Amino acid sequence: MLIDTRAVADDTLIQADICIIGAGPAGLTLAKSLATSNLRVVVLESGGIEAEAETATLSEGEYSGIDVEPLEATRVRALGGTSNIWTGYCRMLDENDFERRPWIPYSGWPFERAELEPYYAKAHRIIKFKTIDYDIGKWSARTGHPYLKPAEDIVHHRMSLCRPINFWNSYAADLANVENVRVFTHATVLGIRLADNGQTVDRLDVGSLEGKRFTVSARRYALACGALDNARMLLLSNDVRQGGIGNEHDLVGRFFMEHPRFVSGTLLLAGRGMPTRGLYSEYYLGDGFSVRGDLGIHAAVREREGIANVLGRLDPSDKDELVGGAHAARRIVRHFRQGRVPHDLSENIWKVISDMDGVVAAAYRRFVRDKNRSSNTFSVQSYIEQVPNPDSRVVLCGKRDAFGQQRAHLIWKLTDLDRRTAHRAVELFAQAVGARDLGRIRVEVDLENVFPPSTGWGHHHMGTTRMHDDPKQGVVDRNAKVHGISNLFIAGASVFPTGGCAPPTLTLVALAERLADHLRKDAGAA
Amino acid sequence: MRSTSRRGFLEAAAGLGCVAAVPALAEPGRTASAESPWLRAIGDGEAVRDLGFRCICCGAVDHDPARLFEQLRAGAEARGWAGGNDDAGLRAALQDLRRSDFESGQVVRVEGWVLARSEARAYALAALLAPAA
Repeated sequence: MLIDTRAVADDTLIQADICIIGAGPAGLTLAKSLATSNLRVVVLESGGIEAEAETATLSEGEYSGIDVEPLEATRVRALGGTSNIWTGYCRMLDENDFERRPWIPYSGWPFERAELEPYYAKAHRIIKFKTIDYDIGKWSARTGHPYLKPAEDIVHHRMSLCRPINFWNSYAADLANVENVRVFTHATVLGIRLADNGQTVDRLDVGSLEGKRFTVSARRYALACGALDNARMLLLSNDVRQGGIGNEHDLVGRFFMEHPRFVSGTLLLAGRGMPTRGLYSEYYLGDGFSVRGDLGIHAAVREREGIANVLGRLDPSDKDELVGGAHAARRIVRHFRQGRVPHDLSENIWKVISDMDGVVAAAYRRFVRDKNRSSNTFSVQSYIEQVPNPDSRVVLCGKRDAFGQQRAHLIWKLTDLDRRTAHRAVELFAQAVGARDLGRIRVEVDLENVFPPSTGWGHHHMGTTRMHDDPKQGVVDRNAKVHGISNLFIAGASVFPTGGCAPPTLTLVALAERLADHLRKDAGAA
Repeated sequence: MRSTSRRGFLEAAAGLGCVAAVPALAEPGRTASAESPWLRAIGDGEAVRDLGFRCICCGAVDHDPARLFEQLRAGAEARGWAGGNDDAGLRAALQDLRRSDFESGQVVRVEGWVLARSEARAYALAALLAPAA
């Protein structure tokens, strides 16, 4: 059942077995899974059916440290959440990502990847993948496109499967037409209220921008608002527990992680090169499905080198094309296609105008020359695993939103280990390519300035309510329950202790399925 | 000194590193002027010499031809080269040495390009041995 909060009477008390806060990929996966149980489920979404400008302002915040896009530009408050602007790339985290790696402080999940395997299988079905195959050799045989064979004891291929579904559009029928699920739009949670014992959530205070106020009382609650707002909600809810809920050890909001990406090298291939529209580009297979091959570094090599996980993406674009006017033009087009205006529109328009030659050359290459052609030159883009860092964090700032609530302030910080990973990885790619005489790589970064001004991020917010069995080291336990609170759970990438270098959506969907199983058992549901 | 062009780099790499992959750049005529089997194996094109001088100028390798020769000869012999005018054997030994350098991380950076140390030594040797144009 879909309900607009603006039609709900003031001061209504809504009761449920489980209340899910947030209707993005994590919250909707949870709701969809619980919809088949006998539990009464309420989903609260701050936005509407589609993104609305006024609601989007609730996501505004401040940032410092590394320059990033405005916070509201990276998230969507609407049914489907950020899947409204999702590019759809999916890959499982590596087995090694779950392990404690002594050279990476704070690494290690409370369980191995095997624990998540059955849920990964479900997650692939939820994202509607008909083919689940991460072997580039098989994709090569299937498509007839070649792939590089660098030194296998250094690097290996990593395939991504891509299917950018909108979670609400895909599952609206499953949720809006069942009796036991009520989805409220324009319902912003204003506070998580604890009972006097400080160990149980008693209720949620909910409001709409039009002034409606009501209360939700549930037996269990799941917070699924993304890594910025999950932390913010816990920090804001400080009326009973000073410092916020789950924050006895000052961990809420810390360990914010992203996937920094930047041009790290130029690959010059020998021979006839590789197809520009082959397996290293987004290879479209029809029906909204595509695949892409990237390079990764073996776990044993990363251990020997003492670096974090990393992905090398080969792009037939020239380096200048990836950071100059053509990049700005692509950015504008991408935003408009998603119905958004980039925050730096004027700056990007100026880049396009001042680099018109580059834009025309890039367009010619992309749409005329490089179509079905091969190229000897590829840019190497590195996507690195940012290692956990307690100083990289979300805090509350002095500015307030339309409800009078303090906004989030993101302090994104990288470490020397991140820099070393970024720098060493491209050298290792170069060694692997050179060892098989495939060509040579020119390193485009230096250790002192490894993250150039053109560094982007994946909009992959992770880690701010990290998972750990020890309450002194994590906000939630292995079941995603907030330590010290009996009935509050967290869904989404904010619980990731480490983020590997895989896009987080597939993993957070798998974790949401796992959490749904736990909640069903916990509630004794049929 | 201008930085190495991609084409120039590819030509230089073809002389030693990517011969098999770039057959058009490894025609016998390209090294016909060289007397030494070393130059025949490495290549003595302008691009090779240019890259060799760059390897020396940035301090990536020694600038003493005798020392460069000894380093390469020792490496080639360790990989089965019997000496003399066995061009094919020398070429194979240098190729093996270069691959081994890449795999074991024995690499140098020349204007950003990541080269095997033995490869850079070979370019430098070619630059120092080749007769002036």
